[in-house]
Amino acid sequence: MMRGLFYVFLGSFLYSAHALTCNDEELKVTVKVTDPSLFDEYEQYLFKGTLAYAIRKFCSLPEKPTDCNAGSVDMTDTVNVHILQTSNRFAMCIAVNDSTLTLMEDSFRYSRDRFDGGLELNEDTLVVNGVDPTLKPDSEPAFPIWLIPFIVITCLVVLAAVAILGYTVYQTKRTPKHIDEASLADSDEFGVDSNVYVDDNDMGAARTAL
Amino acid sequence: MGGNVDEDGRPQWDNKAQFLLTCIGFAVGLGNVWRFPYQLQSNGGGAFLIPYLIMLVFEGFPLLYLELSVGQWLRQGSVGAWKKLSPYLVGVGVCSMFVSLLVGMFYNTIIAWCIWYMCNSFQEPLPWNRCPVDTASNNTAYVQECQESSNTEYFWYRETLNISPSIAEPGFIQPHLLASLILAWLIVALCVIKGIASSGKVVYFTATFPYVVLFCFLVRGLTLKGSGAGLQYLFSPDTSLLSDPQIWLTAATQIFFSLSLAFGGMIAFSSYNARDSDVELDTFIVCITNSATSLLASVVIFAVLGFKATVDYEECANQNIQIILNEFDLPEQNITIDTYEQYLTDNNFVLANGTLTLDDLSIPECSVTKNLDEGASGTGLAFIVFADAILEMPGSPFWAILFFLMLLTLGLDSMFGNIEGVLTPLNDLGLTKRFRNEFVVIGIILVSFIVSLTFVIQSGNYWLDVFNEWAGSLPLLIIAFFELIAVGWIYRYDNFDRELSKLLPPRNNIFRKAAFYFWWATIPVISPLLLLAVFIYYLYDSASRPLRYMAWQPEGYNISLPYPDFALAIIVIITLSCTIWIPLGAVYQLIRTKMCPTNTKSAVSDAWAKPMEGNTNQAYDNNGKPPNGATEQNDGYYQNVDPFSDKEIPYIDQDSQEF
Repeated sequence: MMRGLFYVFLGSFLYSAHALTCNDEELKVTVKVTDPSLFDEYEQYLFKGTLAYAIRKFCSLPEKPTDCNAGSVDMTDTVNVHILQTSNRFAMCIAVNDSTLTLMEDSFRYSRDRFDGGLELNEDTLVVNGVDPTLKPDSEPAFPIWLIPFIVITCLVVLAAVAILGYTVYQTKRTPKHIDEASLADSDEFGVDSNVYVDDNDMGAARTAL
Repeated sequence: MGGNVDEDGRPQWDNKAQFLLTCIGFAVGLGNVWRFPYQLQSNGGGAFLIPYLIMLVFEGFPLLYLELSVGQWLRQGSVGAWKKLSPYLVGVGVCSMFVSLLVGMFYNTIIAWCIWYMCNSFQEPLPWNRCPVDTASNNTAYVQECQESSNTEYFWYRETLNISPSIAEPGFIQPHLLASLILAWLIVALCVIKGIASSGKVVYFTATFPYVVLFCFLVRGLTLKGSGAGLQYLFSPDTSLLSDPQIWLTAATQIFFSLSLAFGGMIAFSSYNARDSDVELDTFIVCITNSATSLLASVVIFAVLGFKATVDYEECANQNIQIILNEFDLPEQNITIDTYEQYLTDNNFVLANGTLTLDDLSIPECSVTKNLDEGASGTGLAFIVFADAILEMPGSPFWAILFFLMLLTLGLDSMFGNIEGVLTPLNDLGLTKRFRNEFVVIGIILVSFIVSLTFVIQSGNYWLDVFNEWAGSLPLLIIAFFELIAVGWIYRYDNFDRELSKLLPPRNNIFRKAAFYFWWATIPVISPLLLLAVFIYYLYDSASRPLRYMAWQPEGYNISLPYPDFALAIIVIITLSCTIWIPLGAVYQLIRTKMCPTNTKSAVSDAWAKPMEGNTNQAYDNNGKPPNGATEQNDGYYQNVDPFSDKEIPYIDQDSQEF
């Protein structure tokens, strides 16, 4: 019953609320929390501070982007960062005085890990529109790893081949004691054989023996 | 390393287990793992077992019994054996030899792929774990080809095969595949270098190891979540399909190819048996083991596929949940996997064409069954779908190594049969008399290796499909049909049965008697008719299918292309190079008969259409003495005649009926 009521409430809420949309010059930030009250005013204040830091830091780079020249962007303070709308998601629209959307995105991208660390979030839980999660580049190992087991197996196979070859040669050298004189004249170790059937230690190729 | 040899100098198995394991290893191959499960599921699930088992009884048993008993009785490979039954049939044996050669060439490439994947499994995370990052996009996006398809498909098509967009563009030899191929041929060479003396020992491992792995995967697979969904999908019977004759013919085709018949390998293996080995029991053991393995593999494969489908479903559902949460601004965890389906129904999402819509929000439908529907068979199953499933298992490198090692051993002992199917007839034909056997083996492998280089160029996978389709299917059906006709009608089954009853244990119990009548019914009549139906169906199916192939494009998807003319020419050459020998052999014998009538009264050709009277297979029943004409070189019954010499055979009385 309570569950049913909850779903009715949820349903009615659904049709009244739709996704938060921000203006063109506003940055949309989504914080995926299970309880929206967790991202309270203090967390929001920390966010504002970190964003102000990020913009100042970005504008202090040697290759200063032109956006940094507008007004006193390079001296942005927490009072210049405005959180305009919030939703239950938790999502918010951010605007900074004299700061363009591109500048905000670039600053955020540059100081991404400071945001993640300070707010105790990560790339999954702190999502900013326009800033795609960076993918870890593949670390190319100096030596392709697959070659290691490959070389091991090859060595084993070569060793086995040498062992069989050696055993064959050893057997052939050993058997002349066992063959009678008639076939000794004919048999040749490596090629033309005689049709004499000798005992199974001889490797001369009798036609159907292997 | 001398093995056992019998009184004629022919090699023998060390023990019965070696022979059985070799036959089982030859019959149980990659098709049991990656073809049968797909066939079972897509042809009516549990209901398919009915036609499958019926075809096993009426087609599998008789054909295997035929091959094993012919080899054991006549103690020759395929060429020698069919020649002894009738000189006009020498072409059948030569055809078997060619098919074995062609199949061996491409089959080893699959083993090379298994080696490559296995060597790549010795790392965590597995290299097909994720898409490579496109450095050109500043590390923000994955390589486009991988993005469009999937990480495992990309690893297979690009990093393994480096496949070209069509068969007409050959590309270059891929060095990593070349290395794997050389290693694969080295391993095969090492195992068959001494014939059955060496391969007989290797099969102790290669024939039993797959079962160890299958049981490990069975336990692992059944304990994964979602495995029940996969098994239910596999076995849920659709009995309505049983009235479709195509299902019966599919079952017959599957059984035929599953047992590795008509390659000449089975004949070769049983020719190294003792004369009085129990052929009927051997047949039953090999057939039942082969089918049981297929069923076991199906359970394993579909348990894991069910798990993968469930994991994919959850991933899809999670993505949808995020979309919905974003759209309606709900906090995280408001909808979870468990409440997802309930949520969709509660809020009247409309399902149409695979998408769910509500107002202006549309999301793709997630369904476990739909994921399972995208079934795959063949290399796609092993190297794409299953490799993907292994990624999700805990301890994935271990399972990957185990799986690809299993495929490796499954393929390896099938290769032994292929090589043996070439080697034994060559020896029987006498062409290799002058050479040491090791050199013959190395020669065969060198020739096969050079041709198999075609399969490691960039378009190699397309050529492999061509070979697989045209060399490994139609000619086999033709050979098997002629084998049945040869024994049933040309040599006549009553003669055959009389000879065999001297070898087999006495028919004094109900099973032996039932078997007696069973062979009488199936070998001359039922099996040839069945095989003829399968052949016609297969021919019709091949002819009605357009000659096109799926070509992978660098954009990340397959397109269907027609075969160019030179590929069609190769297809014709492949098909003819096997089957042309049957009529050629008969014509050659006809000419020989007409031109040199005196030589036709050799001991062997008189066997045609006449029972060998006075001939027994007990070597010394002539009052304890060897029969007339016996020398220390042969026992006077089955002389090893050089078929291409016109020499008179001095030590057999030409008019005598004794052989």
